[in-house]
Amino acid sequence: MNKTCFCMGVTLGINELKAVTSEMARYENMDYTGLSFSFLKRRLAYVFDKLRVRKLVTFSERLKEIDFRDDVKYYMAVKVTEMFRDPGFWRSVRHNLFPALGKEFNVWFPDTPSGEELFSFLVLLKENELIDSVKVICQHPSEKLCNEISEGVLEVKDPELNHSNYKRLEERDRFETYFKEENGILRFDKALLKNCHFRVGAPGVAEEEEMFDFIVFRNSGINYAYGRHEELFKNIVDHIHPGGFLAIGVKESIPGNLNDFLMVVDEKESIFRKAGIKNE
Amino acid sequence: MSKNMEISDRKFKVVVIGGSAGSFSIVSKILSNLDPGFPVPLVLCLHRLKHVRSGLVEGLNLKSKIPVIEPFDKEKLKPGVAMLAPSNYHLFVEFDSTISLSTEDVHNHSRPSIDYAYSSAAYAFREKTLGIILTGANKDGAKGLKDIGDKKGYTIVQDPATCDVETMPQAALKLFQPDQILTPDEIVKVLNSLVG
Repeated sequence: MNKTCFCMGVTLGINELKAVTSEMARYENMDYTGLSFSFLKRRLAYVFDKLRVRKLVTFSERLKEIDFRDDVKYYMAVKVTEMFRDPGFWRSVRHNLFPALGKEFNVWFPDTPSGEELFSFLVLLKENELIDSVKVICQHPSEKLCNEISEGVLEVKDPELNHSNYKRLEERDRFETYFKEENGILRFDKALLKNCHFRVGAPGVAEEEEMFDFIVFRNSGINYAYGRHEELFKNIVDHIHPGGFLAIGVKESIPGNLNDFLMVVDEKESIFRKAGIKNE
Repeated sequence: MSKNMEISDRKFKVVVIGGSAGSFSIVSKILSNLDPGFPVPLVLCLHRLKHVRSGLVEGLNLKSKIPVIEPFDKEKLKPGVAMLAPSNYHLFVEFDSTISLSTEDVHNHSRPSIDYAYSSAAYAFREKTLGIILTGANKDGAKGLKDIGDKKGYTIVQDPATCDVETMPQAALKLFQPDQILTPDEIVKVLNSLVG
C-alpha cells in the first residue's frame, strides 16, 4: 500500500515520516512520535507548506536552528477556530463546576494551541467574579505561541461566530468590552491574564507533584495514536486532585483503563470528576 | 479488482455518502429504504450547522432501517451501521477501520469536509471504497470523490436534474467521469444490491 504525503513537492512515505519524527524527537519538546500517522501526514504537509520547505533534507538541516524549531512547533499546533466552542460546555462549567470548586482553585491547560479556549475561560471567570482568585497555567511547546497568547493577541477568524457562541451562554451581552479589534487581530484586555502563567513544555507533561483542580484538555487527545493517547491521559489524570475535574472534547472518549478513576459529570459535554475528596 | 466488475460482486469496506444543501431528505430516503441487512459500514458526511450538535442524528434515525450514530474519535467502523460526521469536526477513515476526528481548520468553508472524508477512505481502502455525492451548494466533495475514482474505488454522482442544488454534483462532473450518475431511487437499488 502506498502511504504517501504530498507536501509542496515533497513526498513522505510512512518510513520517511517515522524517520523525520525520530529526528525531531531528539530536540526538546518535539516528540511527535505518538501522533497518529494520518494526523502527522496532514500536519507535516501543512508545516512544510507554511515554512516553504520543499525538500525533506532541507527540513532536517534546518531543524538545527532554534527559531526554525519553534516555528515548526508553532505550526504543528491545531488552533481552535472559535471562542466558546460548544457553548453548552461552557454553560456546564459555570453551572456544575464553579459551585463545586469554590472561590479558589487552580486550572491547567496542558496543551494551549491558541488563545480561544483560554480567553473563553477567562471571560467566564470574570463574569462569575472568580478572575482574582483562580490561578491558571497554560502550556505549549512553542515559545512564540505562548508569547503571542500571553500578549492577549488573537487572530480574527469569525467574530460573529465568537459573539453568537457567547450569546448562547446566556451571559450579559458585553462581549466586546473584553477586547479591541485592530488590523485583523483581537487584543484582549490583559487584566484578564493577571493570574495566568505561561510555560513552554510538551503537551500533557506536568511538573512533579503538581496537582490541579480542573484540567481543560479539549480536542488535543484526538491527534494521538492509541498507545500515546492512553499514556497521555494517564499522566493527566494523575495530576488531578481527588474530587477535581477533567474536560475533554465532546467527541473524545476517556481510554478504557481510566474509566474506574473518573465519574461522569456531564456526558454530553464530556466533563469528568476524579473520585475522592481534596486533601483526603 | 477490475473496475468493470459488477458492483454487486465487489466487496466494499466502506460506503461514504456526502451531501450539503437539500441532502437531508435524500439521505433519509436512502436510509429508510435500505435493506436492514446492509453489510457494509456507511459513513455520512453532511454539511451542518456548527453550533447545532443534536437533532440531525435523531432525525435520520426516525426512518432509517439501520442504526445511525455520531461516532466518538477512534471508534471502529461497523457493518450495517451508519456513522454521521459530528458537527464542527472533520471525519477521517483510517487504515485500521476506525474513524478519527479532527478540529483542524475548515476546508471549503466546511467542517466536516466531505473532501477529507472521501480522500481518507480512498487512501485507507482504495478500490474497496464506494463514494456517493448528493445535492449541495458548494464544491466540497468533488476532489475527494475523484480521489476515490483514482484509487479504483466506485463513484456515484446524484443526477443533477434530481438535486435541490446541483453545484456539488456538477463540480464533481467537471472534474472527472464517475462510474454512474443516478437518481435517489437508483442509488438505493445499487446499495441494496450489495446485500447477500
